[in-house]
Amino acid sequence: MRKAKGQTVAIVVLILLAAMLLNLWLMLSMDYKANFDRYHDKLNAEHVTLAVDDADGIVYDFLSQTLPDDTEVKEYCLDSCMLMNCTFPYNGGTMNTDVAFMDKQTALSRTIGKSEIVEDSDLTSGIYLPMLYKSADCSVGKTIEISIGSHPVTYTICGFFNSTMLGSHNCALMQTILTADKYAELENLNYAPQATLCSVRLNDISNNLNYRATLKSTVSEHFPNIRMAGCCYDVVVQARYISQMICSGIISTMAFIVLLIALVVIISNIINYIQVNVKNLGAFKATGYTSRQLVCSLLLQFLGLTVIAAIVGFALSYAIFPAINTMMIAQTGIPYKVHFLPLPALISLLILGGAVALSAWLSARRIKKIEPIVALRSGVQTHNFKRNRVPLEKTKAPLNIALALKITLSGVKHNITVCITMLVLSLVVVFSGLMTENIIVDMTPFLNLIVGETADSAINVQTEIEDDFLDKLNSDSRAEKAYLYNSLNVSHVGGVELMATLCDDFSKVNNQSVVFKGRFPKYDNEIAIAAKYAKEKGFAIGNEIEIAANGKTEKYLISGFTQITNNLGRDCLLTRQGYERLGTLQSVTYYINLVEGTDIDAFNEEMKGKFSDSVNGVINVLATIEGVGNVYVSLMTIIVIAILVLSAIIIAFVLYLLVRTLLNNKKRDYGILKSLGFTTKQLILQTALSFMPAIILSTVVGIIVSCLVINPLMSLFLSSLGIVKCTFNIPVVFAAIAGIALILLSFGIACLLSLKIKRIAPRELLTGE
Amino acid sequence: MKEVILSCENLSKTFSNGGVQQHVLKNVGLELYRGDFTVIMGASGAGKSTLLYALSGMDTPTLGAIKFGDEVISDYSQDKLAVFRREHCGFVFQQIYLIDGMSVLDNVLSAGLLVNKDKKAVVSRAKELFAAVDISEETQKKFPSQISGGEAQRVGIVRALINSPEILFADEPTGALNSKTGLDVLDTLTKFNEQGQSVVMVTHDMRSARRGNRILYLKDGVILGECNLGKYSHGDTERHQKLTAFLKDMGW
Repeated sequence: MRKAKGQTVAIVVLILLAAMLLNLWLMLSMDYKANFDRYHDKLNAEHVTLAVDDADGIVYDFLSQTLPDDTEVKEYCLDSCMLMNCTFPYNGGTMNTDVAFMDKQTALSRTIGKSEIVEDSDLTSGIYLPMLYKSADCSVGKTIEISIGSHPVTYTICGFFNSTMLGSHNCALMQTILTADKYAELENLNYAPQATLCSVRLNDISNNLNYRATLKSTVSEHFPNIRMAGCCYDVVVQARYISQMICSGIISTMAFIVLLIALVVIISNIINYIQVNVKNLGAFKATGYTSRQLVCSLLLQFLGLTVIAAIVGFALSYAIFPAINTMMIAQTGIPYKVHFLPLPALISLLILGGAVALSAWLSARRIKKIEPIVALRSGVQTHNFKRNRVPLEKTKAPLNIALALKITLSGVKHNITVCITMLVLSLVVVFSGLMTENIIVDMTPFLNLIVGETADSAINVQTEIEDDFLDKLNSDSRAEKAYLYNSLNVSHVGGVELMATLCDDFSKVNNQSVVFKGRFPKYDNEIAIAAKYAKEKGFAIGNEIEIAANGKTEKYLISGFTQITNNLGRDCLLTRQGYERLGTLQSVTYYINLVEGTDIDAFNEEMKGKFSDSVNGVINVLATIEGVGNVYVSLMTIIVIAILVLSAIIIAFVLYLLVRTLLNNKKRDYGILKSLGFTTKQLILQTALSFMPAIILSTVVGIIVSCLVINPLMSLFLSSLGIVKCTFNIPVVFAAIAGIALILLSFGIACLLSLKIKRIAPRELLTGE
Repeated sequence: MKEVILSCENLSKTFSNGGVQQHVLKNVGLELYRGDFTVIMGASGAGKSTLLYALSGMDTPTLGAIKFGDEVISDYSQDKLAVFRREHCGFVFQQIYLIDGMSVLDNVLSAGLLVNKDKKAVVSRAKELFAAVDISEETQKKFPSQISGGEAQRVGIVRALINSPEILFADEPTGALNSKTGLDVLDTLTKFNEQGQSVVMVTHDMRSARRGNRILYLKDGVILGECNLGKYSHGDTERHQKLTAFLKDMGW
């Protein structure tokens, strides 16, 4: 190892990278999400929360009487708040969600689900926002304009708070805290109706999803058509940790790719070491060393290197983790303090050590077959059955290429190492292209999976003015397309609560891939159901299921399977007529596609102005999506850059090891060729070209196969989110360009690394130096 | 008047070994003539191989100039020297140095095709030379590890002559061979010299030295003396006596 310092360093670097990535992955998957539970316990947060319109306090009274007798409820807390659908700026776009406004004192003193101020100030009048929103533009002392319903109100930001269940915009209900004066002011303005915030802790937390449905059902049975918004533990955890899940998945994949490459290189290195040092090994054996002793000596060397590299890798992971943490807090909104975690480090060390030991042992076992006398003769055997590959007399290839091919065909191990490296890197590169094309360049495919449906504007109106509203849209040249797209809750009888999306004509929806098997419902007795839920229940297309809402139950035939990540894969699609068998819509939401270049906010304001109080809410869907999407764009941009840089580093190190090995093994031959008159340039070209057949073949095959399997692999990756079939755009152009870049980069690196040939002087060869 | 093909003036070569300077060649001046079989003799460590490598462009001198025709090759870059070697020189090494991963034929063709892109011509020349050194077609297909030392050295000679070099440099070509195979190799070199090939050979072996028509004696990096033996003929005892006397004068 001391003699081959450069190769040792390269192996150490590869193991170090693998250790760093493994440790990062384990820290993210073992502790990062567990951090949510720590905060959940610290703040005694609820498992289910529900905010219900309650101007008269009757809901409060009802729940006070009902919940104590509920055997599922361990403890509960009821507080006054104001509830309204709001829009506010977020991350360069806008965000829309139901917001529960709470008085500061109430919010901080709740017995269940209290909030924790993480950044305060001397300001005494204004608003406290969830820490998720903290940014350069949104900081203490600055102002923020929130549209409460259709009323814009400006507040001064006094600080930021943490709430595990109500601290994010993508969990159906979000909390904001107002100072006492601002709370009173909002009450007087009557922009947001009085409501009751009910927070429940259950005896069995695993029942939280079902209990949310039960609680909603109980309230709506007693108070039909009452407005409410709520969430539960499972949905909140999933919604707040999507970025952690994606990051963790990518890091784990890269970790195992780097580890695989490191192992392949170690195996190649050991086999080469045995071949080059067969005489020394023979001498050891002749003097009495056993094969086991020699194998153990090699094992110890590599294990020693692994431990050293792993320690440095772990240290590096702690250096990088704060940056990753900062990126993810922008999406999770839960503070996380980076600290030493012994268990991930131990598991990483065991994985690395075990893998290195196994591969070193497997490749070093051939020492057993070395016979001392044969080895001392440098392995000269009586018979030599080598084939003369690429015979110069017959080949049509130019001399340099022919000689390069001879080297290629004589180095099976090198070819295997190169092929494995380029195959996995091709997959990595295609994945980067997929992320670039489907998130960074055009978010639509990604958002279709995560969000479901996208449009320009969404307007919710009372059903009384629906006809007038549609007439106005039809006559407005800016409106290209408008369709009913209304979400509300229904229950599967014998199952759970489902989020139902209603549409008058599913052929109009933008995201036609949401139903990936079967078809959208067309008739009033049809339903499309989430594939994940269908699989749990064993449903097939054509099965009949019972759906309940508003105290009524009806049967529906399953027409197709959907995949949307919202609501943990508990959703369904119904036609409007299909829902109207269960109840009447009090208000309807229309999704509208506008002509390119239309000012969406101006359009929404115009609609609001025309229909005033009959318009319950308008959303600039595009801006909302941009706000959500920008978080993922930033995250993915960094991930893609990191992946591409890591790939280049891996290629450089693998080629470094292979070229160095080749130059060491072929030093004599290079000296002979130089003495015959081959120039340094010719020999560099031969060396670099000798790697190219394996590189080109494996890269081309790798890119093609990766393009074919990437969507199924992504489906597997996102399956926990309810995704069954990914239909991302395959980045063919990116993949082709990346493949060419990989090949050219490899060739360039091989040429650079072969410059050492310059130092091989024929004279040294001849004098044996 | 013989044609000078290679000459050197004030040729010096110094090696640095752990800070200690070792002057191996000191102001050597000589001329090599076309058609000669020049033998450089001397005791071990006299600087014979160093002189050979310097003259052939394998090594660069510390001081002095080496001229090939009108070109001063001692000023050439490494790559230019490589081009010079391939076009004008052939080498026969003591350790033979055939490339193990290539067949015997490919070892020769790799040198030939480097200069001449006409494959047919190169193959034809190779076959001709193989026939001249009695290497069969079957042997040409074998690998260097599958043939005897004598056969391998004869292949080395074919490789050295494939491009019809101006000078053939030979460094102790029989050093690693037994008596009989060594004799075969010397006969081969003599035969090509008789056909007009200029040969410069380094040796410390009397029997090998007798093949030369011109003997240069090197001692402590300086050419001490020169002896002209005339054209070689087998069994010429006078030649042996002349050489012996010369070497005795030189202090051999």
